[in-house]
Amino acid sequence: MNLFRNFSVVFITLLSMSTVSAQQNAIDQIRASAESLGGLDKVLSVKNITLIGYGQWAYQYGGGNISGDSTAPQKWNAANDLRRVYDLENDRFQLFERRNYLFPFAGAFGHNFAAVNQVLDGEVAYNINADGSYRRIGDTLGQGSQRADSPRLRRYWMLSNPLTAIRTALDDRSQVGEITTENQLFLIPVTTKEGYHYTIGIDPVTNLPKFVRWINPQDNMGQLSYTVNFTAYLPFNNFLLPVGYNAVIDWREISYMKIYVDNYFIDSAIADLSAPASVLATPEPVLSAPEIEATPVAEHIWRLSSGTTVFEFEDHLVLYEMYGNQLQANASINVANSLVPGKSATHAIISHHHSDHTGGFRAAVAAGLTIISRRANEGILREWAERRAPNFPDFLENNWQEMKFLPVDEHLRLSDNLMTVDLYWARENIHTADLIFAHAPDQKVLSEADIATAAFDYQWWADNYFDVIDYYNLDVEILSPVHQYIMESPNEVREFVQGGVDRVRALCAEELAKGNYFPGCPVQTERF
Amino acid sequence: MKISKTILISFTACALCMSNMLYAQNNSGRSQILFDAAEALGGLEAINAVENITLIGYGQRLYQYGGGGITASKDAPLKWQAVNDLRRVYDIENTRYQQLERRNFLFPFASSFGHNFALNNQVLDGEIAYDIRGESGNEQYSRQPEWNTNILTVDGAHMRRMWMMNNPIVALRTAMNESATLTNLRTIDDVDALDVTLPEGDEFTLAFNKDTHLPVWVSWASPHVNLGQIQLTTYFTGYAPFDDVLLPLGYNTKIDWRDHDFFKIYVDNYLINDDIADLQAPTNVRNSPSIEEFSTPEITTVLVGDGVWRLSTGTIVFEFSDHLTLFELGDPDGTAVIEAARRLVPGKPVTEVIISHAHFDHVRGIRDAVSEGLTVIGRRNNEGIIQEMVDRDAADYPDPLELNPMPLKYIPVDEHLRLQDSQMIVDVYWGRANTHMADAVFAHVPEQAIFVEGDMATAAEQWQFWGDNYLDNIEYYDLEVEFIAPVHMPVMTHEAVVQMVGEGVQRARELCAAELAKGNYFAGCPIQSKRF
Repeated sequence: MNLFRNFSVVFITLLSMSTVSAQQNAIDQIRASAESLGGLDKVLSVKNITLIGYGQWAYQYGGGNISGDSTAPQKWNAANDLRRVYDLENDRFQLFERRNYLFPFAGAFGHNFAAVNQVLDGEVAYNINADGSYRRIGDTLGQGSQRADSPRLRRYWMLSNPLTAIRTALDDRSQVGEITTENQLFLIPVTTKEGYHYTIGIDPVTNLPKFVRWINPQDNMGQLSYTVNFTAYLPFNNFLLPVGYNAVIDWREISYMKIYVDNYFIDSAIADLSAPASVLATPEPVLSAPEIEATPVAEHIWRLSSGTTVFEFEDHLVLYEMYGNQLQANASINVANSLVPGKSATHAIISHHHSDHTGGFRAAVAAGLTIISRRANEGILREWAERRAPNFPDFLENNWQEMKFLPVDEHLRLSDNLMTVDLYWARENIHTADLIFAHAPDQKVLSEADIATAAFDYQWWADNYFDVIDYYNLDVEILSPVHQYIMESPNEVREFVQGGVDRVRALCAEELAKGNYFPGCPVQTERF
Repeated sequence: MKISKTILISFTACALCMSNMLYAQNNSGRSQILFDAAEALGGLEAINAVENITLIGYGQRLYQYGGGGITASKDAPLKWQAVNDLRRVYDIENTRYQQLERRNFLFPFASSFGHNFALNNQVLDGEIAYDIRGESGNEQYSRQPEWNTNILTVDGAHMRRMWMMNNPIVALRTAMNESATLTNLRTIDDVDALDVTLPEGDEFTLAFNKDTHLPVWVSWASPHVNLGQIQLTTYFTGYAPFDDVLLPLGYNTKIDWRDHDFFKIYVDNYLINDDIADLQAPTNVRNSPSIEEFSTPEITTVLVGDGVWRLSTGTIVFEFSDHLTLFELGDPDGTAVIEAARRLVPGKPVTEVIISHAHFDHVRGIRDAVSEGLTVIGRRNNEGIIQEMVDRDAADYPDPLELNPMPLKYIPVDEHLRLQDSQMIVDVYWGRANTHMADAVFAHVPEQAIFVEGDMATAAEQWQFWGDNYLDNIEYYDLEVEFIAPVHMPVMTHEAVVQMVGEGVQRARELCAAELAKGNYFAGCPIQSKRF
């Protein structure tokens, strides 16, 4: 078989020496693949496919683990009750699933299996909400610590099915490029009528598609190449379709999204996925810089509505956290720079490496800010800062420069005549091991992320905030957190955490009563 | 937390003893990394003061070492098992260790044990491994062998000892103990590593970060029935302080087959010098003989048809005019199975084994079969993974294939392959559209209407998640079936199988409904069946 495979690859390579023949070969190969999938005519005439199964997403693209090490245990998000509807007849697609984190998550939404119902109708993307209402979706570019979204991305997920990928390639409005080879597979580039580029990898022996590959922006990493591997082709009606999907990204070769197929329905009665009039009447949302407001926390300290805390020093500003995304981080830097005439931000403290907390850090690097974080985070941040984004240029790609990094071990003091900020390691935080928080001793302000305020609902590591205050013997009156709001007194923080502990204990008891041993239960706290 | 005066004196003496012993080694430069590591973990005094550690958290284990996917392809999505309510008790003071966990497959599993979160309570007391079953006050104890291999994980005293070493403080304390032999200090990929040999003979390698001096991984070898032997490497990450010592919040054990993540632990807490249970092996356990490793129970035989037998291992034997062909080996000891088949018809050699699919429970014994010169018959797509298994070494734990290396002889099956001579006809068919295993084959003896399969209808009795597959294939290939000789169950009539499947579908539907009522969207639900 290998001999045949090698021969096929060599044969095609020789033919590829002529551009015209290479393109014709690509089209022939696409047709051959259609034959293998069930027949060219059938592939062209299939109306719709419904995939039924379940799946798993790598949490935060693999950037949400206990540490930034490549060897850290990967965290997963279950995606059950999963449906994908490929409405080829009407050029529509539906992504339906219910998610549940397979680790203790601080927000109730992380465990409630709420329906995710995302639709693409031509170039119109919209969501169907739980209450039946609709929301039109625009291009979020690289935003989203776990998933981006856009009509383009939904189109790519629609194309991440061998039959839709081949049928799209057969569309007269698509452009098929020249055939090449990679690892004994044929590679055929395709550009859709909308102008989206993807590549099909085809097994020369079976002619079955092995993968579909495409590129999408991602704020932490600039851009990502996704390779959705198809495995286990089985017959469903008159077609061969894979019952295993494995989307691998080109950062650390992380298995980003997996689908385990239970069944396919071909040309079944599907719902009408056409965009409702209300959606069509709504202009496609366009990304714009958010309006950032600054709230004074104490003298020379502000909290921006983006979650960033700004510390004013004699001749510069230091920002705590570049949360969310690059657009927001850049806006935060701009707002910070307008707070004190003549003073600009020079440093950005990154609390920890998790993808939501580093979503904007490439914008900070692009702005020339020195990144401050735990020493152990330098590796992952440098990996991200060194990635190029030629297809979807972001702030860093457009102003390329090397990351400047200042490491923190146990403690680092930033101090001048105007301001003192102590950066401390958050020690035994079981959510993220390499976490730092800031303390302004003169103002008794503590700025943190994910120590006490990851979310309102559940407190899984409730003692951590109070433990570190005790350990470092800190005087704290005001909390300026990334995720919540300014808390004006220690009691307010304690009550906030107490409520989360009460709720998480109730959750554990409720799950145990169902016979479910929930990860993270029983809750570990000595203080509450 | 309070340390008695006696214990303090003992530990001080022990620490001094260690210091003296290691000082000599220190002159050679070898053991300085141990002192550096001790310092990094909290200081020699602090780590020597640790009597016990209790790890609390949860984990995930890779299903069948990565050999249980929908296909044997490296690109197939891996399947995981949740390991919740997890505890690890490192009773350093008494050289004891306990593994507590409750498991739940994160994919639809055919049997209730796969989803019932039953407590696994496994203990090591010195050289004695034992399990505790049953509720508090009504515990039952059973001694475990030095080695105990199953498809989900390798167990036994050796492995429990190694898992005990999967804690940086325990590993370091062990390495610093004079009873351990330290050798082969070297640099591997920018870390310092040295080999540690325990008095029991077990060996592991401990590695340290050159900058932080913290232990970064521990690695050891284990025999593996499908892979010859495997190297397991547990990486420590996310060190955080607990009492006076640093401990990792993340553990990730990788295996050297396809570089899979095999076992992950996410730590919620550590308790140091807590009031732990007495893990001493009970008298009845101590007095019970150690179970023979890799023991194969006596193999019995049932006649299925003329020239067709089912062995108690799940193997089906077909008699041709001048040879025997097996359908699966069914047991880790493939050699014993082959020998049992040979005894059925003296003088006829066993020449072939049909592998239903490549899941690791169904390819047990495959290396033995290859070493015996058997030709393997399976789906074309399974040749690659079988070749990988055959190509692996087992130098430290030589198995029959290591001792008698033979090349793989493989006959691929696409849609259909007929094995035929004047005495027997066996049709081997692709088990189409099976969502448990894409590349399955089953056998059919047309003249006797016997259907032979693994996991199509009989993976387990409890739940049928792919209930239509058996009948779909019979219908598609237009087969006549009176009896089924399955791998996992006894011989049954066709009618009995259909009834069992139908009831299994109904039970699976009830499971789905019960879980949905709890608000849990269970993987594999709703059940996909048009026939039941």
